[in-house]
Amino acid sequence: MSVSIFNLCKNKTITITISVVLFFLFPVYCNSQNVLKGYVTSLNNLEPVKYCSILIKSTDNVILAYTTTNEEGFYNIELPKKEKVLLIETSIITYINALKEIALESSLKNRTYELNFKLKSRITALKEVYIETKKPPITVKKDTTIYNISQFTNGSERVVEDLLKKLPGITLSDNGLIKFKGKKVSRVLLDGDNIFDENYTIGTKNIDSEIVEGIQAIEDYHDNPLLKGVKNSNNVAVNLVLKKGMADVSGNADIGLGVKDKKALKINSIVISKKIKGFSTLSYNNVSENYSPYNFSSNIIDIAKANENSQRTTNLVTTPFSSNLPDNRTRINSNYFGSVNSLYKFNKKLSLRVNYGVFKDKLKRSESNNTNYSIEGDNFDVNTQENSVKKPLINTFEYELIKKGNKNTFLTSKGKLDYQNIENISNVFNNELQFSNVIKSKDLFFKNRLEYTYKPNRKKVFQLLADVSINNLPQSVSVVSDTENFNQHIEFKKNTVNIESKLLSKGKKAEYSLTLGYNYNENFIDSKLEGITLDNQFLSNNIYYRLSKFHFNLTHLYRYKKWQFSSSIKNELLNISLNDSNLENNYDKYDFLMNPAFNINYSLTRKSHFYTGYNFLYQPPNVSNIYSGLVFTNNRTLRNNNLNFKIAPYHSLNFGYRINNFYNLFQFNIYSRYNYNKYGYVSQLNVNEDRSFYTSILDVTNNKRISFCLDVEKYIDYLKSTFNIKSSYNISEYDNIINNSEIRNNKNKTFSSKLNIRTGFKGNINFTNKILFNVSKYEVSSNMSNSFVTFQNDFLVNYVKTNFQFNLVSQYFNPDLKSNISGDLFLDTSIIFKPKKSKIEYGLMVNNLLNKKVYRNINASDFSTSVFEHNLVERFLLLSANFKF
Amino acid sequence: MLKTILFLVFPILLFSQKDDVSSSNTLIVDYSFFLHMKGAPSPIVINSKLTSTQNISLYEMDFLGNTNFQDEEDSESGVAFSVKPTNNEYIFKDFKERSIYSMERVLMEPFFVKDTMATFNWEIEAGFKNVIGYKCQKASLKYRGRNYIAFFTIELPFQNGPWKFCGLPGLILEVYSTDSVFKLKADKLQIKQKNVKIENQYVKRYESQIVSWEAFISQYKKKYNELLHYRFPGGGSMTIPKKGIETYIE
Repeated sequence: MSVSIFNLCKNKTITITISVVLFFLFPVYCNSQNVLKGYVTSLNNLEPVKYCSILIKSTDNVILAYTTTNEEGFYNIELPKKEKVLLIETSIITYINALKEIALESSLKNRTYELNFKLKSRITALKEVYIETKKPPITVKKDTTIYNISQFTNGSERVVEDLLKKLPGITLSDNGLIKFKGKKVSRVLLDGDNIFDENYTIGTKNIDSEIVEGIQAIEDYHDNPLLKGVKNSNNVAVNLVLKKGMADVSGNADIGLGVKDKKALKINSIVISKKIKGFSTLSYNNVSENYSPYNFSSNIIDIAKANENSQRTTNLVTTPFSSNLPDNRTRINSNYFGSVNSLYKFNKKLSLRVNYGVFKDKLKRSESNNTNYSIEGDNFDVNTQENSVKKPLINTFEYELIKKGNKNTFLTSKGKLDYQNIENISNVFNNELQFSNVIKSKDLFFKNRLEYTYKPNRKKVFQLLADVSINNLPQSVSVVSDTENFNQHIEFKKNTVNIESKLLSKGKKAEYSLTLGYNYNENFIDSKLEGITLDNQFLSNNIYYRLSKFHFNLTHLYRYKKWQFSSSIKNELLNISLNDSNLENNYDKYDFLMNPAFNINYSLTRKSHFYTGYNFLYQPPNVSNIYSGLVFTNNRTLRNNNLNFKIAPYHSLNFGYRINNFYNLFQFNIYSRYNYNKYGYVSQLNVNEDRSFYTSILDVTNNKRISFCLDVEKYIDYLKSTFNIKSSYNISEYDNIINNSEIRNNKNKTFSSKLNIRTGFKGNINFTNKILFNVSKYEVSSNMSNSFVTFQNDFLVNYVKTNFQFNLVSQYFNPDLKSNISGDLFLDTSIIFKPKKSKIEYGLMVNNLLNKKVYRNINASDFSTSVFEHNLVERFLLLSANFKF
Repeated sequence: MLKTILFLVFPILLFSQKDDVSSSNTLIVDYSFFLHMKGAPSPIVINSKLTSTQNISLYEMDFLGNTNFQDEEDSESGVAFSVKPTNNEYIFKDFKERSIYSMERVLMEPFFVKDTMATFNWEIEAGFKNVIGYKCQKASLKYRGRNYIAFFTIELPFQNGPWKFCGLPGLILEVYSTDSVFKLKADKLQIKQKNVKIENQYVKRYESQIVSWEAFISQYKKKYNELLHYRFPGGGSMTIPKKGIETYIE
């Protein structure tokens, strides 16, 4: 303690000494300078006036220099050289300004002048003033996250999707669906305009990333601007801000050519002008790429269709190809895709959006499946081999007319006309018996929505909505073999009408909405099976299934300190009418149903919160669960339903705790979900060497499902690497009947874990490794159980140097570590090179370097084990060039 | 209870100093705040408000669109202004201790920084300009990585300005960086004869968390280096800028 005080004293003495020396020496060393010094005191009490401005002015009132007095009221300033007479003025709010004049003697150059001031207090206050001028327009963007994309890119991005993948908070799923901080992105805007609507993947999969200058994520987004501020939206829009100074029409072209006739050709163009904004793309490829929003090669549902679920009927016969491998290994295609998207602005209030898309593909697949069934002591094998070609053709036309009224009204009419034609031809051997299947479906869909919005004040919105839709889906299956020859014609139709009025209101802490509406939903199923007879089975369907309801819904959201409560109740007066010509008893009944739900969110800190929710929902059977007559979907598979009409509620409960601390590069999420429904569908399978006959029975099943999940991500500076662990444990209980068994209670337990390590070394080379484990166990009531362990490891090497990039991907799959199947290893590589100052970028890609031709997988269920094989995209090499115009 | 006592005593204390008339000379200036960072697709244009007495001032930047943080409160010495920033960002200046309090961010993490006023080395220049009716003289400044031009008036004896700017012998009514990134311009000015109550919310709320500018900069550098090695799930990486309005990393 004493030491520090001593130091302090010593330091102070030194400082004072130095200041004194400098004060006296200063005029000597600065030869040509005149200096003014002095002190300012108060006239009242002779106290020094500190921080008083001393202004050195010329006689024409221009400030030439200034200083302020120090704590002791002293000042010291060099005087300007040229002037002969100077005005010295004090300025401080508490004292009245004082003004003195000094004349400089031109002969003496190094003089020190001294001028002291005694200031009079300012007793009268300053005059009240009010001045206002025109303000510039203000842009407050509180719900917008702006990405400065140059901070995130390394030059390896080619299209917007590659760019989005790299932005923090943004994730992309396999169908191209974007999520921002876990919320669904509903629109991708081009310079603020919605030209793609739901099918925004056309934009994200094709627009050249280089023309994008910035990306904004707009939370609480509404297509309808009047809803903003009244209704909380969970939707996010991603706005692509294009580079300034782009020509009215610009674009890029990709040409890729490879051995074995491999081609990838694409041309994009963008039109940006005052009146019109548009994007079009045209492409062909047979290198397993999909630039479109549609998908026919795997189980992934495209975004637009998922949103039209309640308006579309079911396609029973066109099934996707299945595989554990990613699409780029299995999609053997020959794909044409063209799309034109444009927005035309007639004037400030009226605009029209038009989209047209055409898609044509030819997908090939060869599969073999050897299944061993062991059912109640009965043991048999089914071996199938299938070569199939699937040819989808789509034409889609969409429109939206937007009319903005005065500030408080908004009117839109939007619709879609969509025609999809899918043809599937396959050649099948079933235990050495040959079949040929021709399966066709034609899907015609039309929908229109009229929406009128009126906003009487800032806190209230009134809406009228009217939806109509028509879906017509004829399907046919024809099977030819040496022994059999049958045809199945199926016709599914669905018409819906929905009329709704809505009132939305928002207060400081609460918001609520009231909806009153009528919904009409009718379905027709007609089918006829010819050329085959089966005992005790209906071979045709003639069904009319109608659901009509008046509904009254209430939602309420309330915030209190760190809590947020939201609740909703949906009340329905539902009339169900089912007319099945196969059955004697037809169903026609009124039901009053109440569906409540609530969510609670509690923020422990700014970065962590606890959440829980409960949902109670009555779900009337889907149209695919009501037909009683047999439907053949291919040479082996038959389906029907045994419906004992009931509507039972479905319960779901979830809770979790989440920490999102991006500053410490740490994220943690732990949650659990529980689902229960009293009535479920029991799948009854009757299987033999020739047929698989599925009957879906609605019965008391007490189906349960519980899952626990943990997701942790942390950056460890010591290793310069980021670690991510995702684990989940699921238990589900379900019932089934196999051949003539009793109802079997099954339990499936699955544990899956993913470990992802990403390095971030300073050099040009970096690595990513992903390990995936999946342990699955089936248990049947009769103490029989079956389990398998799948393993996958992905290893990526990435080398980036200015203008040059190299990527190597290795993927190892093992479908069951317990079996004797050796896993499969895949290698892919790509090089991208852009010469300096060149407009052309070159690429070389080699896929499936080791040329694996077949993938083999083992599937085990509670009653069978099967070895499943399918063909793969074989090794190819592609040279490509990309240039802009 | 303590609050009530303070509230009652505070104006009396101010008035006990006879020569201090500043507390009833309240300057309120609205500035338009324009910021267009390099690489950002569009500029941020918002309102901002400076409320100043001789000794202290509060500058609020209305990023949230809910200004008007002033409430009139009755007190024994008449109607007093109570100036409390809402959730907006604000800068507090204490002219007695010559310090500037501000909230700075590393990523989204807030840091409460106490900085000195001694960092402004203005050069007076000979240009003049009229800004909202006041004759203003030109001054220039090199400050943490940018060059600025300011116009100040000595007709109003407040040595203050928008944002962190101060240290000129009069009130700064317009200031902009020569690279057009940052612009502040007064569009509304009032002098009111009302008592004002401005509290240093930084000291009141976050006293234990207040750090120096140098400490903030060293934290910023640490996070900058960490992020160079962090990779997102999609393989992407990010950097934080070396420079905001001010330079953080040379």
